[in-house]
Amino acid sequence: MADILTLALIGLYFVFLIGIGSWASKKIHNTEDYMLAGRSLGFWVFTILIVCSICSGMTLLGVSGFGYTSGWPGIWEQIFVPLAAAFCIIFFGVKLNAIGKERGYLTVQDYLAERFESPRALRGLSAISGIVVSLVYLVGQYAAISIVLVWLFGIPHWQALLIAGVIITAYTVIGGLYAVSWTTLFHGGILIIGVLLMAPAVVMSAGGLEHINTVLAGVDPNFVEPWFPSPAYASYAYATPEFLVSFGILLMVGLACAPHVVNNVLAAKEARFFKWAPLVAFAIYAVIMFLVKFTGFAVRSLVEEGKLVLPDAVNAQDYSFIVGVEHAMPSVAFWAFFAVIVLAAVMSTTDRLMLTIGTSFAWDVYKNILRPSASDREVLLVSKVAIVLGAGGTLLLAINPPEMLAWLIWMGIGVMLATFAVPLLAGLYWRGATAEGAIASMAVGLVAAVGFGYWHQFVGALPVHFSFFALALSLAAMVVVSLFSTRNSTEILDSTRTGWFIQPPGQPSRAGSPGETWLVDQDSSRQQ
Amino acid sequence: MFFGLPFHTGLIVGGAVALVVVLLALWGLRFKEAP
Repeated sequence: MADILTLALIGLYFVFLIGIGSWASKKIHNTEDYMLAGRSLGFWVFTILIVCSICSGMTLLGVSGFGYTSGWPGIWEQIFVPLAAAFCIIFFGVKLNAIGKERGYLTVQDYLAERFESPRALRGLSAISGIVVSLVYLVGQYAAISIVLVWLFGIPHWQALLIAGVIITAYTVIGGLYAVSWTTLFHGGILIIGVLLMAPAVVMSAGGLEHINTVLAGVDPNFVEPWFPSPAYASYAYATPEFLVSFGILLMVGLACAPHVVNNVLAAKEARFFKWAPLVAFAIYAVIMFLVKFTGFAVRSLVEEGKLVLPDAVNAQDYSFIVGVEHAMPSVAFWAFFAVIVLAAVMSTTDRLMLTIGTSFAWDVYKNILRPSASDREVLLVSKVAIVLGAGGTLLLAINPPEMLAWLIWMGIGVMLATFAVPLLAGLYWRGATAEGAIASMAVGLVAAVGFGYWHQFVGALPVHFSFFALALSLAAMVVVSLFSTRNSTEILDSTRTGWFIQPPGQPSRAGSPGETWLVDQDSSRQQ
Repeated sequence: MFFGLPFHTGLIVGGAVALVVVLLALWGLRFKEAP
């Protein structure tokens, strides 16, 4: 399917990415530069980095696929996922950015280790679970890259993976977060412009939204309802009200606390970015997500009218976006541009995942647990080696993907929610949360997510998303164990700004503000 | 009817989006910037 123009465009695109990596490498002098871009990210780079870390290639393909199979009841995904960006910035970003600058945190594990006074156990547990979840997620990203490159070039699956893997690994290894954030800004621009151009064309080619909705209602009247009736009456009709509640928590909170997303808040240059970044991130992301969903509706309508046929594949619905664009824009020039859009979406998540794996291992496991005497240079080297090994290992897994890949990816998001949400939120907002509580919460969440995920897949379907039960158990473990263990010192709770507030009352969120006096007062009155 | 959707679907989905936008705008307006 590829022609000279397509090859040239994709080739130029890759050269440009490597160029950014090379430029970024000159700005790196220490681990802070590598892991957090020297805490120098401006408003737009930071906001787009948060959006694009969440918005992956599977988002584009999966969202239109979900629209194809489930119609309007699945539209809540288009609100919940963009809300994850806003939730991350508001509930994690404001505090973590301020404390991070003051205390010199490089990763969220630094925060957890200090807040819970658990420099090894909690740091190690959270770093390792973060790395494992990111690796699983990474395999899923490779699958999306492969779908696009194989479709576009007609090359074997392994060649597609190798080309994309080498390019992303190269600029991530040499340029760290500088390269990741600036390439992401570029990727974000392409993604936004591309979706704004292509999605309306697909919708128009299917006769417009009103016609599409009429066709959908003819297939199943519930396709144009805000949710499916409970209990689910068909395999596609699982978006019932109770499922949507658990799905909303999973997407909004689970994605917000994913390691490759939440670590970005430490890199924002100024605290004032958190004022409008939540609204801007939500607005940009929601527009993209709604438009992509509408392409799924449009393709379903075209298929029902016999104007289009999806490929004969197990995950045929995931080809909705691709097939829809091909139908609406027969010119090869558009296909090349389309390929770049999907690649942009995939790469912006993939590179951030790779960097998270490398930095978590080098900083949290190697430097802070295995070899505290390691020099800055050594940590940087270990980080780069870990990225290459992580990227290579997942590439091998992606070449021969496990049969249950989709299940593994959902499991990954569920584990993120059940493992990280409670320790992070309780750590930031509840002064009674203890180290023992955090470890118990993380361990129970991890085991319960795997257990309920397995049950849902292989034993019997659960009425809500499996991660909901794991989250509830994780919360219970945090509360019960914390109540029966010793509180952290007031000094630590104050210096980590722990309490039931986002910004200290009456004071802006900046280091050393008099708001800290309020913190001490609050704690003393509680202890009395 | 709302773009071929039942009125209540348009109202619920549109209302939810509007609510989120209003809440995030309120967050922005109430955010205290460092002097």
